[in-house]
Amino acid sequence: MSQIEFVYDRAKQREFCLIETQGSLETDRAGGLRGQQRFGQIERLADGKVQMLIGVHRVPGSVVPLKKPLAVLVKQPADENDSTIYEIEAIIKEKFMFKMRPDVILQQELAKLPSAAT
Amino acid sequence: MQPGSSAFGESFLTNSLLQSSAKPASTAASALDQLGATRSGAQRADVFPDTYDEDDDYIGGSNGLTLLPTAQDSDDSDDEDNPIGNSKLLSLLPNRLPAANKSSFGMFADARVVCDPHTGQAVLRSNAELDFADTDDYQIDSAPVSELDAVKEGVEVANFIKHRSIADEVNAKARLAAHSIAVFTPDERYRAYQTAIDRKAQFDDDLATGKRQKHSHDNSTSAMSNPIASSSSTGKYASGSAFSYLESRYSLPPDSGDFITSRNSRGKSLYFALRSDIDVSKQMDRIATLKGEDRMSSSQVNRVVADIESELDTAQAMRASEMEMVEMLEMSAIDSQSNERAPAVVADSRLWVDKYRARTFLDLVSDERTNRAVMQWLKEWDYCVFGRESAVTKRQAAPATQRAEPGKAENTDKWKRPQRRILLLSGPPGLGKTTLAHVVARQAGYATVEINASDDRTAGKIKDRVLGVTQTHSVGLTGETRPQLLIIDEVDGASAAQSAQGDFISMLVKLAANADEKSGGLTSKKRRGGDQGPLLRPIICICNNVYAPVLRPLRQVAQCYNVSPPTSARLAKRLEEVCEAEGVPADAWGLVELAKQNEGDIRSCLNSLQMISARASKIDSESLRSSAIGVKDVQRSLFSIWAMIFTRPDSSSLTLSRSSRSSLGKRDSSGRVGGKASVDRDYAKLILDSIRSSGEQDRLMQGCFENYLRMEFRDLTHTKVSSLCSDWLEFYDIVDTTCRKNPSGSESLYAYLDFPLLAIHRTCSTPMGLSRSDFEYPHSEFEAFQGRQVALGIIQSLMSSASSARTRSTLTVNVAAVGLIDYLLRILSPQLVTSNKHLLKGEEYDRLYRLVEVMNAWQLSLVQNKDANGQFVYRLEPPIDRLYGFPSQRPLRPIMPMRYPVRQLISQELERLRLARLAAKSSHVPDGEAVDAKELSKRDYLTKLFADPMASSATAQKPKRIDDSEDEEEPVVKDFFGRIVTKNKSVASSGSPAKGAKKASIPTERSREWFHFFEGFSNAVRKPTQVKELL
Repeated sequence: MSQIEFVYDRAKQREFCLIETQGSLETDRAGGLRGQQRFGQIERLADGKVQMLIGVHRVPGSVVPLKKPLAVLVKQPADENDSTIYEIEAIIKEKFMFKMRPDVILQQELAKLPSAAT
Repeated sequence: MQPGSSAFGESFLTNSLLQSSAKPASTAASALDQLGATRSGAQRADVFPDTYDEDDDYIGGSNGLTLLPTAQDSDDSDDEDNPIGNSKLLSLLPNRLPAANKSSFGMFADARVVCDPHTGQAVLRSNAELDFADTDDYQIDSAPVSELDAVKEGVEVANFIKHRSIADEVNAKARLAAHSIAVFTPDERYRAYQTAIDRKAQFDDDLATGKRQKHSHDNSTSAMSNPIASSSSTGKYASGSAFSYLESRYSLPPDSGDFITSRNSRGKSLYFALRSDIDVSKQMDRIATLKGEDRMSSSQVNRVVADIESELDTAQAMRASEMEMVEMLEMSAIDSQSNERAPAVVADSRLWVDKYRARTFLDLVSDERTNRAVMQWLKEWDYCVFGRESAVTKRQAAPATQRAEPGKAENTDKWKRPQRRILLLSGPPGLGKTTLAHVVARQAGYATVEINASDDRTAGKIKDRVLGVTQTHSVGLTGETRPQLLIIDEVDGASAAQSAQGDFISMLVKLAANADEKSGGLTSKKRRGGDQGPLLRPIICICNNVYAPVLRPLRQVAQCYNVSPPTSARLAKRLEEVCEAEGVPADAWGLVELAKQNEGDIRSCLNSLQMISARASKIDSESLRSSAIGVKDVQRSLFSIWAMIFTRPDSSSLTLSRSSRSSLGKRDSSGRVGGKASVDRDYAKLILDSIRSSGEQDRLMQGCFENYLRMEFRDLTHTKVSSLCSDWLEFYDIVDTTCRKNPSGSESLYAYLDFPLLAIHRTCSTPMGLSRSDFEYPHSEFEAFQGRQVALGIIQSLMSSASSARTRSTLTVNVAAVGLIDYLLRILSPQLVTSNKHLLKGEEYDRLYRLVEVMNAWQLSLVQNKDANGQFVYRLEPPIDRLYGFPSQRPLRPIMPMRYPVRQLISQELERLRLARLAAKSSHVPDGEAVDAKELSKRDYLTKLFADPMASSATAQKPKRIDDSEDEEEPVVKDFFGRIVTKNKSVASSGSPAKGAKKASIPTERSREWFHFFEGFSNAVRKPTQVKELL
């Protein structure tokens, strides 16, 4: 019976975020979503909410604390002397939920035109 | 209920009923057949004993036996002339007959043969009635064993009595009685009817006391048949001698065989022997010999018979009319309008309209040209329908089609049918359109089938009939029958409502068009199948108003003919013929007047003629006038009133209509007497009445006003017109305005609205009158209204978009229309020649800038769209330039620079300005740096604005894609405005960092990543997942 060892190093912690969307992220680039350096941008707003900017779309979202925190583990392959070690890369305690309909950034700006002029 | 004959008819019914049950094989005729025969031949069967072999089993009201129920109890039986009794059972019969046979036999199962106390005749009575009646009077015979027996018994008694020698005499008496019914005068009948009414009233009283509820049914039916009863009661007197005869003859019981006993009212017993069928036939032989032997009785009988025979024919005719009258009386009895006397019906009750309906083509009174045209059209079908080319067709086909429609349509059709398969006859009612159609069709060899569209209004119903008639490919042509022609009357009454098969008219149109389509293709028959074959029979539609909206589609495919009214002379001639045929002396002038008065309506003429002839012995102007009838209730059309207004009357053209007649008919007998002044006066009155009856003074006035200057009246110095305008038309305007402003308070003024129209008549009328081509229906008022609405809309949109609030609040529509638009348009029209921005000089810069600023201030814009030729043009929006000048003409001076490139430049600059303003506004509002921007001099701003050739060229290329150009210019704008950068900074500093980031992150090119949002709910399923699935 082998023992699984978890290693937690506070200094090594990175920040991850869990995103839940009503919808899918799509692209027409070759290779799809994988290997994509920059897809969009998620911002935390002052009022504690978040928004996701992808292309011309802005998706408003909210921050929801997870009931059970999740840990992101990285498996260290077993070497000769030790058994397998899992390093805890991050602990996720909240998720960003985007379930609102996205609005178009450009259109919104232009829509103001007539009314703003009066 | 038919009195007179019905008494016989029902007794026959009884007979046959009894017969068929007793001896089913004896008579072939069914009960109903006999009833039918009775109506015509009752008399004969009753009268002649010779015919007894045919229906020898006889219980008849007018023969030896009378069916006498006596629901009428003692007080009625005591009544000496018991008018009700005789037919009581008869009247019961039809009520019970519909029930099952059993029940009707059941009635007879209870029946006994008894002797009527008054007449001495043998009587079949029902037990129930006997119970009710005073039974002491009658001796009841043995009770019947079964129902059938009872019936048999009755029949045999009848036989017995009949085949005695008394039968002859009784029959003769009965015949007399029957005859007396026939010759009953209407007055007598009326009296009888009155007594019947009285009795009914009496009965009703009794009923109220509940005395006779049991017999209420019997009695109420008796009330119905009372006239009959009273009339047949005369038979009683006739058979008075039969009474004593019976008594002497049957006082002793027969020597052998069964017999029936009965007792009459005097208390004497009578014995009727029962005979078998063989006995009966023996009896028949005996009667034959007896007739010869017994000279005394038979000669009497023969004489009477001869008398009756001679009178029968006349009696029958009279009876028919009397029956009508009695029927009417009865109807009124049902309606419980008891004491009203119905009007007498003249012997020949046919309407003259039907009597003198045109039978042949030459009889037609309607316009001959129309008649011939219709005939021609119908003849064009000859090849198709009859398979022959008539000489008429050959000769006339060419001109006919040329007139109908140019083009050689005739021969293209496979069946050589006329191009237009449907004929549409139109015209006011009573001109004989229907008659024309029928007569022409008959003359051309068709059998007509008439469908009245106002009766069967649904398309589905009519479709079957139409197709049934028109699709008779072979039915019409084989055998002796004539091909059918469909006449659809009152086609404008067809409903426009859509049903499953579409509406009626479109169905007709489809039928005609379908035929068109088929005429080209030879294989069409196969393709279409049996559903709708080609239209191979002519259809004639008849309508009153050819311009009815329903008929619009039909009008285009149908050959339309308008039936115009005949000239009054021609009509009068026809009326004279009618009067001659009727033997009514007629004054020729009176007839002409009648014809004029009815405006050519033949039907109405004939009707009034008949009406007058019924009252007066002679028809002339005087009798015409004295009767208020014979005048059509006409409401003139607006056009005819306009025609009247613009027509100067002369003495011959004056037709008196009802209104003028009633007002001045007495004083001034007709238009031909009196001078010009009186003619004018009458005509003016006529116009006035027409105007008033139309009730559309304003529309009439509009029509006059828009057209009076086109009339060719004599007014060399224009004084008439000017005085008309300044005086009467102004007066009309004042009154009309007042009326409109205060409709409820100015009723008294309405009356004055008529007179300006008369003034127009006085000034502008010509002897020629008004030709329709000159006259236009007034529409300018509506156009003006519409134009006003449009203009109001434009002005209001302009006012609402004014930039300054003060302007918005103070500006009114009138001020804008009169004081603003013109100047605004002048301001908007500076001298701008150069369309290339790079070539703009200082002066023009200013002008362009001013223009753009003003347009921005009023929210005006130039919108690019295509004009009628497909060219791109810039239009001002809202289109205030339409408020200037006349719509049909080019504006007097150009509004705004007209050239397309210049307008394009203006539009682009306007857009740029707006974007800039918008950007400035959104950035300036939050912080104090707005002051800086406001202080920025306009000149500088403008220079900067126009100093960017790249941006302007970009926009010039794609004027519509503002967003694109903006995207491309994004870095430039940032550079150039400077304020944008400031704004970003300021936002970033003052607002949340996210917002600033967002502003900065507006993508510069179309993103290749996107978020695909799933609308609605998520149908994700939560399920446990192991880590290894994720890894």
